[in-house]
Amino acid sequence: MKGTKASYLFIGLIFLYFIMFFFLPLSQIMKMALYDNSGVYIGLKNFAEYFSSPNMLSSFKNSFTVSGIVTLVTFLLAFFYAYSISRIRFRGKYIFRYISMLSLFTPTMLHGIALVYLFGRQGIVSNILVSWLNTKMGTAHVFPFDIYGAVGIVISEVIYTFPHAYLILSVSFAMSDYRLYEAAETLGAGRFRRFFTVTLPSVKYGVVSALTTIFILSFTDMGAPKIVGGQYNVMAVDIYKQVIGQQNFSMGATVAVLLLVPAFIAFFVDRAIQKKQDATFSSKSVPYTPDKNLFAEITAFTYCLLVALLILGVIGTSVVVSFLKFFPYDMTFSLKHYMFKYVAGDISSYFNSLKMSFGTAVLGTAASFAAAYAAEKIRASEILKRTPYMLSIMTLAVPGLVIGLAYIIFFNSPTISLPFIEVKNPLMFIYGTMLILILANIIHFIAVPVMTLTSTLKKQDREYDSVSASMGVHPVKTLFRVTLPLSINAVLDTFFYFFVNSMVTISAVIFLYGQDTKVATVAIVSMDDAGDTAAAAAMASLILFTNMAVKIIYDIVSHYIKKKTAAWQTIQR
Amino acid sequence: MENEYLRADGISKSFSSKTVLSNVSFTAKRGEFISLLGPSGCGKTTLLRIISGLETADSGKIFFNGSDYTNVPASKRNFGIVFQSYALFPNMTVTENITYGLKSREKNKKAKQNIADEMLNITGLYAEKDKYPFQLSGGQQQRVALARALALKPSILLLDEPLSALDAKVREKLRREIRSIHDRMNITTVMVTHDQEEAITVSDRIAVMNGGIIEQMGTPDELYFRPKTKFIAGFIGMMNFMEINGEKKGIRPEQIKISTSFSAEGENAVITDMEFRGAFIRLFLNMENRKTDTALVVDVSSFDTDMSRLKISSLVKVQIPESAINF
Ligand SMILES: Nc1ncnc2c1ncn2[C@@H]1O[C@H](COP(=O)(O)OP(=O)(O)O)[C@@H](O)[C@H]1O
Ligand SMILES: [Mg+2]
Repeated sequence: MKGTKASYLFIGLIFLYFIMFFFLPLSQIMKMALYDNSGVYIGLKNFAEYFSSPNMLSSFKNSFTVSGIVTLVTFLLAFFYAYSISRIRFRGKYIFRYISMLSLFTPTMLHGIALVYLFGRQGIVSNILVSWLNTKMGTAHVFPFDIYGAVGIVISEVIYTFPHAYLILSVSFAMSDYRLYEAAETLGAGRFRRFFTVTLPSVKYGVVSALTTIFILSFTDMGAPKIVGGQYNVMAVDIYKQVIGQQNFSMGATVAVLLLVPAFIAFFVDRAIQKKQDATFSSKSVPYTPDKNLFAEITAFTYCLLVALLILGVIGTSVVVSFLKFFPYDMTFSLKHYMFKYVAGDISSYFNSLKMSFGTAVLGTAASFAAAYAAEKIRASEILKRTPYMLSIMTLAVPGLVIGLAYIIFFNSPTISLPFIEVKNPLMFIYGTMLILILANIIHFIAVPVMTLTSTLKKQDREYDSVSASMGVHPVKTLFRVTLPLSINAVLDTFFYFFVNSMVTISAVIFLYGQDTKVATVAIVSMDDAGDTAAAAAMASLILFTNMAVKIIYDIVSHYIKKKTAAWQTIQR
Repeated sequence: MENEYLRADGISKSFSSKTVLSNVSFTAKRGEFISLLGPSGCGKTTLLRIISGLETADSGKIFFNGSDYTNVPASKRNFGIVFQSYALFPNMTVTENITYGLKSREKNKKAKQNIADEMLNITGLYAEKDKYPFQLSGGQQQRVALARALALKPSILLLDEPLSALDAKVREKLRREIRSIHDRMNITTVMVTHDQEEAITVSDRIAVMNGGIIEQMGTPDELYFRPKTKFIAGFIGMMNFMEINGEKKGIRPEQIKISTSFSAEGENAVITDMEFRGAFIRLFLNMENRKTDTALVVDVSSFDTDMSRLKISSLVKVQIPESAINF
């Protein structure tokens, strides 16, 4: 198909966007890793230095150890949680689903802070509970482990990664075909045989996808280890320390490149798997309806209850403590931590977060819709129009920390050096502004929305556009009268996704905030550094409350849209 | 020019290395009802899309009313098109769907409403005008798609398998309606279909396509009585092929006479299989003195009492008529 000038321009602009805000910054990080701090080319010396430094090497090992354990633990917890909710009947599933999602609404620092309050030197469990037990029973036990370190990181990351794994797995469970179970049953396969011959094979792609996702999330998170890691160093925090602490950009970039390697591997594994899954999934699948089994129901309910309580317990601790006057000495209710009268961070950082998240949501939704629109609706050659989609999916392989570092290097340099030429950097002005935070967040989060929107557009009849074209209707009219109204739910999802993720993110923004654009998550880190832990907990809770409120608004709006469009919605799958 | 209102001239098209249309040409007179008939995958839709301007041909030209339309974009051709899927906008009512293509800048709301009413009346959808597409039956949806295409008063109406998604009964009723709308509005129509009965009953002329070419174009009875190729003969109705006196001949099953009495004239044959088809019975015969690759197919009336006594392995006499078609 031949495209029009406008469609080439459209795709060209998207292309340019990814070059400017993704590839060029990323290439600068690779380059930086090969230069020393004063700009002299040193080849792989940075890497040699990295692997010969015992400190660096131990973080390297630590990162893998911690993420390995987190992957295993989260996966098992989430697998049975998802299995219980989608395959066994019991009441309260809505609540369980909701609770499992809670940690999507919190910055990972909140989990770290909660663990310190629970198991730290003056923790509720480690100190208050243990000494209460000791006096009761006349013993002299001490709490057996130090929360600062691997244990703290693992628990925080498990809670952080749990909802991601749960979502992936529950989608897999929902996709499997009930007819297969009926067939297996009529062939005489028992409960266990069915689990191993039907259930497991049908979710195997979801399993691999969940494993890689958990691993990468915990491998590249810096929020929780920053708070609760103590002397236990991991790579994500090393980058932060190198860049912010020692201003050693080239070593920071070196660690970032090393961080990218497993992320890339995971990305390609996940892509390959996804292709297979798309190929096997039949749209005619019949959803599973669980049959009665009292024992399974009680076990599943109890299990979900325990997991939910664990999540609630950790998140709740931070929230509760943020309302106490002076933990653990004065346990009366107080709002004083919400006044944010601290040097390390004040309420303006919260408003900055709101601004940034709103901006990211608006611009991010537009950008991801544009990429999806190009892939599905533009009349141009197949390869050309898939490019924006492919480019957005590729961002999935790049952790937020790396994006942040790439942006600081790229947008702070007065010139851009391309392979043969050097040009003046036309975008330096965005450095230190709100805009750079927004742009970094968009690139950081754009992959999932583009996938969602693309699959929504794919479901729409391709001939809508042909009909409009043959009637001489301008494509823009069709976009606003047909395509957008039919995608309204996915657009709303996308907006919500960008907003919530921007509210809780720390990785990219920690390198990029300016004097007037410090955001709430950055404030949490600095307040915790300064010892204002209660204020940090309050700020983290404030983010949680905001996201919950936004979720409520989101639910109301989507309910309203459903009602408004009920007359024709049923036709959409 | 009156003789060729629409002309496709040497149209070729391939997708990657796959040739879908090779050097296809045909013409349509003003007010004519043309069908493009052929098995699935033979390139009908592609040809229709090229005519509409939604697809561009690799080579060849499209002429409309004497002017070269090859490079005119779809939006400027004013050809109405109805797709196989209908592609009704689910978020708009019937009226909104119908008026979608009318220029919004037109201040005259009344004129717009008048066109909508006219279309609703022509297609018998007036009672449905405020409903959404999913609230309608398949046949009604089809009519909305038709009304939407007609609302712009197109110079040519293009229909891509307009009835293929419907039940047999509705299909028969609607194809008569489509023809009657064509007659009333006197609109030149090109319809794509894979259903030979549909093509035969509604079209003035049919272009039978096979593997990316038009094998023959003609009126329905031309195609039936004077098929040029075996493919046409087999596609429009049914045809037996055999050698008679060294000549290759085609005989239609309904032409052959069968007799159960031994004294009757004709060649001996054994019934190897039979199918009850309602109005007629289809017999599959093995001829005693003739070698054929496939069984001879003969249709006999199921109201003929002699015939209804026939069984598999019964012996019959077969009379091959003189008027067989030469190939
Ligand atoms: N956009 C396309 N890309 C690649 N192949 C196509 C495309 N459109 C049609 N084809 C192929 O061209 C052939 C003819 O298709 P089509 O015109 O739809 O046939 P028909 O309508 O007669 O069933 C088919 O084999 C189809 O797979
Ligand atoms: Mg077709």
